[in-house]
Amino acid sequence: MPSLGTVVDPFRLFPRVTVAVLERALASRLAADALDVLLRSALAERAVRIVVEGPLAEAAARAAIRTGLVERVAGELLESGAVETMVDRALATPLPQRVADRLLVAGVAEQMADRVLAGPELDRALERALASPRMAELADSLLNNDGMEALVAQLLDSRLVDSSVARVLASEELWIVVDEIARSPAVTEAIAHQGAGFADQVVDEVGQRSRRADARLERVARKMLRRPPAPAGPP
Amino acid sequence: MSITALRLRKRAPASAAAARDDVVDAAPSQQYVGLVTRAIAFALDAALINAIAILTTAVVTLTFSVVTVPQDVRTAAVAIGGAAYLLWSVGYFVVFWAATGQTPGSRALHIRVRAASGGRLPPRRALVRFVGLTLAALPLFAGFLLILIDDRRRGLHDVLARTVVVEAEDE
Repeated sequence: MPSLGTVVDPFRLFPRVTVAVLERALASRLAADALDVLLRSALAERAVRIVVEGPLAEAAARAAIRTGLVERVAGELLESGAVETMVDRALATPLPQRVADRLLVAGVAEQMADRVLAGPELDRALERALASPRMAELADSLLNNDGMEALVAQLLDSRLVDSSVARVLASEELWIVVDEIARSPAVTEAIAHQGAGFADQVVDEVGQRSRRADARLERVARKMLRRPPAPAGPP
Repeated sequence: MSITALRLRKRAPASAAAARDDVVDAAPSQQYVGLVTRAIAFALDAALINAIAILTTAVVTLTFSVVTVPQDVRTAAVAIGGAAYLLWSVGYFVVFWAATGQTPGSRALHIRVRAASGGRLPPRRALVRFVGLTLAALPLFAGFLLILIDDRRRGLHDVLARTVVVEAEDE
């Protein structure tokens, strides 16, 4: 393809002048306006679309992937720390805050929370976590940890527990709950059963002891009166 | 027929009914109850009788304390109260023995009074038993000592009323 200098001065008679003229022309406002008009035109847009949608761009992309160019570039970017720097800069700007605000205002966060709570994924994840042996090991090590024991002891010795218990005992709601429980048919029935069971137990014990005393007293009386032992009663 | 039954048949005619009871009872499948158990059951009954009597007496006494009545009326009230107490005590035992064979005290200790023949005790014999109970207590409770040496653990009142006290079947 011929260069721009060849087009202006095909015989290379005034190369310096040609270069100077070209520099002036390219740096001029007219050239800038012309380029701007060209870039904004439908023609440029069509040209770009043809290039992007054409087989050339696709072949170039495939070649870049096939040759590992994309991976190399990505690797170099990551190794160079450029991505990290970009992320740091992005985080330093008000952009993350704005994104978060936008998400909250739009209710995206609430929708996500609702979806997570309503969906079966959370249940499955919890079930898997609870059923996993790792969880049992974790709980075991946590419960057998001296630090945990000391923490619990410290918590129980703290004023927090005393004040919390005192507040709970002083609350009217607690006594309403206790009253409700005490009046519940299940509790009254259980207490009645327990009372009746205890009385029956006492009576049975007294009965057994009194029958043993019967036999003993009778043996003594018969021995004193020199009478033969009582005939064994039927079972 | 067992030898015991044949021997009992040779008794005097006056004791024919008693002999009949004994014949039926010659081969019982019951365990007779001894003195201590019966004493505890009687104590429970006595406690119940007296608790109700004391409660009733307290109510009547409180009622009399707020009204003014002549001395003669008071004396008559005391006499009536004594008679009521006696009637209540007799009625308690007679009714329970005749109805179910078990007073509340007997029921607590799983024992039962029944005729020696095995049937339920008629009211008349229940009354005789109560009289016999009183008679047995009169000579320093000597009438109850028979229970210790009798083969069927009968006291004087049991002999008089032809009854035995046995273990109650599980109900």
